[in-house]
Amino acid sequence: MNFNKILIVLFFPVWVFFQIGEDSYSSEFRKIEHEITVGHPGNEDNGLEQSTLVEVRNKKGMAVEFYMNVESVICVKSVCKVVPVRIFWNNLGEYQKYELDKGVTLEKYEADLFEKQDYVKLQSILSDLDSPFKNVRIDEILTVADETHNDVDAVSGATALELDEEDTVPGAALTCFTLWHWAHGDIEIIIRNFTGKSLKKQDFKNYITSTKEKEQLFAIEQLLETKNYKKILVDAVINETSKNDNLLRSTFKYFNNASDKKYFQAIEKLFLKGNEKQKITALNSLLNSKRSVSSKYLDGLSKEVLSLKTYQEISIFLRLMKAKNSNSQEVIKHTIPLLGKDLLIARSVYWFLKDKNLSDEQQRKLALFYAENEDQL
Amino acid sequence: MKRRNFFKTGAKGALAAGLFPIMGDITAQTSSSSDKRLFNWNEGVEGIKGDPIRRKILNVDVAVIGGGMSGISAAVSAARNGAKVVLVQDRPVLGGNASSEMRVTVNGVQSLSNKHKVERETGIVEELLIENWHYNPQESYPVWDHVLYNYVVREKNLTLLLNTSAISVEMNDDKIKSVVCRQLTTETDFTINAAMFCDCSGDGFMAASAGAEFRMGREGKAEFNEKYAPDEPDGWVMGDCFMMITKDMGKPVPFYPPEYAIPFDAETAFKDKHRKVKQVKEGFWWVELSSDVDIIGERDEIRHRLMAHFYGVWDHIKNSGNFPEAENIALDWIGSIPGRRESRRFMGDYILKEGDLLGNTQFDDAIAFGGWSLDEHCPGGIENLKEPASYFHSRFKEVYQVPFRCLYSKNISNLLFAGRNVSVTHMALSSTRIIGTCSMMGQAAGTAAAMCAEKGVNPRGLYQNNMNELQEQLLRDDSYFPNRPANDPKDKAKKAATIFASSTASGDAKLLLDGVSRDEIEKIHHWQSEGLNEELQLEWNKPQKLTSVEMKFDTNLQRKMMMHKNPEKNKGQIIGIPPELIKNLSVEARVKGDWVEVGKVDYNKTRLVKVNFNEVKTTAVRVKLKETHGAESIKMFEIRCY
Repeated sequence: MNFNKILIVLFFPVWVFFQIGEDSYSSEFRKIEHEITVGHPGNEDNGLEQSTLVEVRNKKGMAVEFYMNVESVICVKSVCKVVPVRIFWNNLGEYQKYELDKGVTLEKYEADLFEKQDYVKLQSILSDLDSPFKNVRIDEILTVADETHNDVDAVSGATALELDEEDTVPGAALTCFTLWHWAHGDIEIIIRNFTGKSLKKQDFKNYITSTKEKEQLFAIEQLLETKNYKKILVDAVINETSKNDNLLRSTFKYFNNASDKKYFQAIEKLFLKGNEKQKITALNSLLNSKRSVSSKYLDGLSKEVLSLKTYQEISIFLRLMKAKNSNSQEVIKHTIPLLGKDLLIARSVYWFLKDKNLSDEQQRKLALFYAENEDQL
Repeated sequence: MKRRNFFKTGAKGALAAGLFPIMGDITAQTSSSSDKRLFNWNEGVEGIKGDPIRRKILNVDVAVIGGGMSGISAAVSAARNGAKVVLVQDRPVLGGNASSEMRVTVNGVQSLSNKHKVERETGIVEELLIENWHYNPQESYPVWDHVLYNYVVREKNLTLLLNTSAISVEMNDDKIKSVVCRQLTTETDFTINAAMFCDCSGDGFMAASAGAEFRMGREGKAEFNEKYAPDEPDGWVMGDCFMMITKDMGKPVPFYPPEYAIPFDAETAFKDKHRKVKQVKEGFWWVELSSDVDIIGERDEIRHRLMAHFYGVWDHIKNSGNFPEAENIALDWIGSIPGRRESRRFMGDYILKEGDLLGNTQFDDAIAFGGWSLDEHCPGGIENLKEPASYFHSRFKEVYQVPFRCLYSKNISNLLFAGRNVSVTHMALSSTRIIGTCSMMGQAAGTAAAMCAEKGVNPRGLYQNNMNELQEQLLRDDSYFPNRPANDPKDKAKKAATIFASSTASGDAKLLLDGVSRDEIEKIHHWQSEGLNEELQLEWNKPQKLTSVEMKFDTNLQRKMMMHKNPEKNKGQIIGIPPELIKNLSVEARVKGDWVEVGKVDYNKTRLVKVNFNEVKTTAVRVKLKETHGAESIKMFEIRCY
């Protein structure tokens, strides 16, 4: 079942101002209730569950926390007692903790109650992004092993899954599964988008320049989501991306959706300021872009060709010029010196220049290269 | 063109050794006569003999006896490696236990207690499973039979004999000189002369007839220090089984058991959790019968008793009133030939034992891997309800290795085997018997047989002198065994000055040259692009002469891929070609500065893609990876250039 498609329905957000002391929030915080539709792999009817997600904003109006009340067991409600569980996330959609109402307890199979250490282990499981429950199907939880490793029921406790003890609360795999998939998955992007909508320019700037990469990625993702291309933020994104390759993918997604002006400016800056990987990504973007690029713009880039260090950079640069600026004398002028570089680079320049209209001096240099490297062409 | 004339004059109808025509390299034609007169016994027409058996001689490099999944893998791999091969199958269909006649699931390594729960087998068995989803998404077993048939008959160098049983062997000292096989449908005896013989038949009549040493039964604890083995050795083997497929009639349907049905003792059987009826779609593996005397000699009696037990169980399900879910269910298919787990185990230069599997012994001659749990079925099967139906002694954390020395006879010098009859103990067989594992052994045995025939050596000599070459060929052909990276000196990709990709979302293009063609636990061996329409480029300092580029792509080896009798078991699988797999690609070589397309593949269906082309002298190769069967990026594990 594909849960990638998320339906988010915002029905009349309900603004609720906290009373002092209520739910441990101060009056500086306020709540917004969002009616959402979110996928849960335990729901075998249509994969979608309706629920109320509560957004908590600080006095500046920025979302700082989310929580949602869910049921402890999905699907097979007759197997275990179902109790309400409140799950908390931070504003990046990361699971933080769960809470039970006073006096409420979680149950295992055959009415065994959770022990104190089981609650601790559950928190550890829910905090684990790579928990085995991530890739488990509910039918695996509900079956025990036989020869074909996928038959019979789980109520005996011996699931086909055969989870290691540290990965589950024995006898409560269904609860772990249910809560893990509430805590993670589609809900994360729903929360991120709500947070994104609450951010102001300075909030974005703070996130982009954060020392935490995940916050930087969040900011770029939400800039794209909210189609925000304010200059100060664009500059911040370029500046930070030039220092961190891990932002490249998100950054290029962001700029691929920008206007021509912003796009070309961003590519030029990343090409000029960036490292090898960033230069390659920028050149590849230009090569594959359907936008119309001027010779002047490409001639400008060619001035930097001597600063390119690796064969791959030169290779993609020459390919770009051949495809979109093939007869530029400016490009020829800047690439001729590369005939003196290492063999792979020089050879690719030789092939690039071979059919070009060269001056006598340029032709002489080309002929010299050929004479010296004929057996390696 | 009239049929007989075609055989006389067609390009592929050339006479083989002047003895009989071969049709399309596929089927041995049993008659070369062009006499169309009415046969009339009373008139004594010339050509009608007192002895009705026709006799033909086949001269091949490799004879494979047994057309189950191991035999198919052996025959195809031997043929692909240049040997002239005959594949002899005693049934009208290929597939053995996996065929429509028995319908045993093509299981492989699964339920590992590790991050990789599933570690799917690659090579021929994977090609077959993917191809089946292409031709047979309806999961029809008769169609599956013909998927296998198509896969075999299109192979050059391979002659298939169906309905043909080995009946005798002729020896030359410790070598098999020939095997005589009778094709009942044509009343023809084929004398097959071969350099190498592979017995992949399970029971191993040919190998036994040749005098190959074998065991049948259970080793005692002491002999190999096997903790799960019985205290004393005995004759028990794991039993035979019937499968079934049912259909829902939409209304209550009665069931009347045959007179010979044996009443089912449900009370005893269901006392513990080992025997349960949790579905009514596909039979019950615990309806099983074995023997501690001679399971081969008793097979027909076992077949009958097993049918009687099967109908007894089904009578209980339908008529006891305890299974209301079966009220509308009717039997649609039931096997008539039991699926077989165990009989002869032929002895090789090494006997793989329980400790090797549990301790993951590392072998210099590894040629396959396994990882199904130690799943030893109960002695006596359904006639011994006091013991669990199976002892799931232990599952594995990681896959174990199978050594080549288990695949050839210790005393018959040109005999190999693959499948459930290889050189393992009873305890080890409880894991290695799984079809996916057996198929990998088949690929190894077939490849080795072709090498032996080509080099004029026996399997032991190959082990002693050419083991590295055998392993390299297997790895090149997409087999896998852990901790043995490929390092083929003929692979020119390894000599490239640089390799790079148009984008990288995870892994590294350089990892495509590291010799490991799948991700291992916590060890990445892949390159993955950010999107589609990506490129991969290799560049050499000096020009290279190339004729092929070979690549291995992602098919998600951590997801099951087999067909099921019960559609419920498809959950979590993809019904179709894996979406991760590359669909269209082209290969370019740079010739005098210009990129020239030298080959392309459209609608690819295999993990291993070999693009062959006329020799080209080049300093760079570029692969254009266009699209997958659904995934939004391209992931691959290896690239080689030859």
